[in-house]
Amino acid sequence: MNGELIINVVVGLVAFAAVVILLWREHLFRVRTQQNEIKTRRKLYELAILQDIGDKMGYSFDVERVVGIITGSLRQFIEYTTVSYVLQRDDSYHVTIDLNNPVSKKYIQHIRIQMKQSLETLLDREIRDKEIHESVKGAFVLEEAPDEPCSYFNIPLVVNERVVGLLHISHIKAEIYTEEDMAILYKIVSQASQAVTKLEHVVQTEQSKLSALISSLHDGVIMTDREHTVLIANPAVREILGVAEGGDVNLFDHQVFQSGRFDIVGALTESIAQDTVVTVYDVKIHDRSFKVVVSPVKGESDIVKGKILGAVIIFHDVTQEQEIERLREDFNAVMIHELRGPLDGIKKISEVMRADGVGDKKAYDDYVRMIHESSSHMLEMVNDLLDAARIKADRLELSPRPSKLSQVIEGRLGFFDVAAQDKHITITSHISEGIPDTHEFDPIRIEQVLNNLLSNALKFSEEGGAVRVDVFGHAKGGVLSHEAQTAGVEWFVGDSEDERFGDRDDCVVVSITDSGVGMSQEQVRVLFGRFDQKNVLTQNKKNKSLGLGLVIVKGIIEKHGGIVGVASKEGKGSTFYFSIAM
Amino acid sequence: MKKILIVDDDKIFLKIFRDALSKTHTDAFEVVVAENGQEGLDKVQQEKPDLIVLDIKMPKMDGIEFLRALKENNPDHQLPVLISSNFSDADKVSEGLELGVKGYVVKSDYSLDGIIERIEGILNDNVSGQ
Repeated sequence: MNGELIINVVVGLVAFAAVVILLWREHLFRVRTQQNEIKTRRKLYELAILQDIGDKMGYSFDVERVVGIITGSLRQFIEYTTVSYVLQRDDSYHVTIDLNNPVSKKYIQHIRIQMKQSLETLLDREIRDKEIHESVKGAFVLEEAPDEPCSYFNIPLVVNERVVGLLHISHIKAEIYTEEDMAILYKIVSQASQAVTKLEHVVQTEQSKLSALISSLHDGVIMTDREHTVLIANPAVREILGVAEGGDVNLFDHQVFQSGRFDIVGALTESIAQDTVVTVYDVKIHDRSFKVVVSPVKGESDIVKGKILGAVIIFHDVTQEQEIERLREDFNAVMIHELRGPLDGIKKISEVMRADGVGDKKAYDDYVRMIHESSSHMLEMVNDLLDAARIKADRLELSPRPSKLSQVIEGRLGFFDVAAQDKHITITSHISEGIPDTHEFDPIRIEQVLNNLLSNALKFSEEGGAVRVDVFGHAKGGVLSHEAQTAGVEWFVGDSEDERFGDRDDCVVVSITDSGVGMSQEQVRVLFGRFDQKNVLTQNKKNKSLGLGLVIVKGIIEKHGGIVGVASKEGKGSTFYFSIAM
Repeated sequence: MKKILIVDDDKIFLKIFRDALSKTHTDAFEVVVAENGQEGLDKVQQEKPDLIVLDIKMPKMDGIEFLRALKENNPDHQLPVLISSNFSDADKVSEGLELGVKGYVVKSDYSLDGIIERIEGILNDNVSGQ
């Protein structure tokens, strides 16, 4: 019985304990859940507020605007009597005090002192009263209203690791703000500050990118406001206008604009007034030609969206383009002239033959020979034009095959024999011993190269002169001038070309040296230096010929993977050379 | 008999022009030739021609340079010049005309007879003008 009782009591106690433990655990669980719920709710709340502030802020990086938005949203989650902020602007501090409920003058004085002291602590310096500008807004200031904030707290505003101001919140009731309230507000403010900091960085980077871009532009760029005051002038435009570094670019003073050749102010006025892009072609500034584009600049941000703020003037140098255009016209005129000549010759020969009949055998033979000459000449020209066009488009086709270089050279010397004899010029070839004779190249194309170089050599040699063709080997790493000397080559190439050949793989070098008038260093430089369009066209103009020969030579040799070059001594002669891989 | 100086480097043109003149105008003209401007200036001095038929594009000294030199040597010369060239661009034509030539024929636009007619026309004008 007793035992049973004891058991019952024990069981009862155990059951009770179990229930108590269960209940306690449930209580604990509930408390925790509740706490979690509160936390979650706060978190969501925080997020909602941040979201709201973020939306309103947009991409503003104006601290004042951001603070305005935060204080405007404050009422949603915190009770307060006043919300105030101080912001540093230039060298002064601007205080805004926003009253939610009426307070007395004395109350405001308290806020003032609290903010000033706090800011002084943050900045670690004294702030004089004359540095402070203040505005009070919101509810009325009434004498009978409360005259002391019983609760208040400050939150520093930090942008870019620099204190830029302070947010101050106060209440007439005591102990109204919990740590948590302050923490949330602190968090919101610091997140907003971070956002502003980030945006400032972005804007700064973009701005520096933009100014770097404008500075590095080859085109001259000027930006002006609506009143034609120059805001930005890049280095290029200073160079174009001849304004020294640090000097002012002024659209009204500058002699280029005053000369009347280009009415810059008129173009600006038109562009801004009519919201249109004004383009002026062929503006001459200091011997150069420019295309000038004046375009209105419109605002992007909310307040100035779509408004014309000023204009940008771009100076694009077209001197070279114009020159090339002129040279191309000259080239066309020469080409037409050159083709017309032989064609007209054939026509006139037939005219004479028709009037004459074919009576005289000698006259007949002469005429037929002339027709043949004219048509061959014209055909050559057409082929040259085609080759030059193929080379320009990088569509020159080669048919390389193992070929004997000496055979090709001898063949060409034979071909030019008559022409050379006519001018009493001796042509000799010197092929260095010990180099292989058979190489992989397109013999027809290399013949064409030799034709061009030999006919030039004959053309520019005086009567009784000499033309020599040298062939020798270059080994990788070898010094070209030494190799030429060893091979007994007589040419006008010094050691200037050694570097070009230094690292080249083994190759054969063929040079054609004449005893003509030679060329100046400038002529040589232009000839093979940079075979750009302008150089070629300039050469054509000077020689009053199509001048395609060297374009074709260079195209063929480079397609073979070789080097072409020229050296000359004025009054003595010139050497043209090319290489073919071994 | 009028003396005509042809300054032209086109050997074919020189030959057939001479041939044409010798066939149809044997007694009317005497023809002398020069193959570039420099040679042309010398021939003007030596031969005292009545008219010059001048090409533009020539080696050593071209037609335009020849005209300038001619004017420089004798600013008041009345020697009539007819340019016959295969250049047809306006620049070249006006450049020639500014230097006081009597006419400009684009060779391929004229037959040999056509060019001869122009020569006769200029010579007749000169005679009637004097």
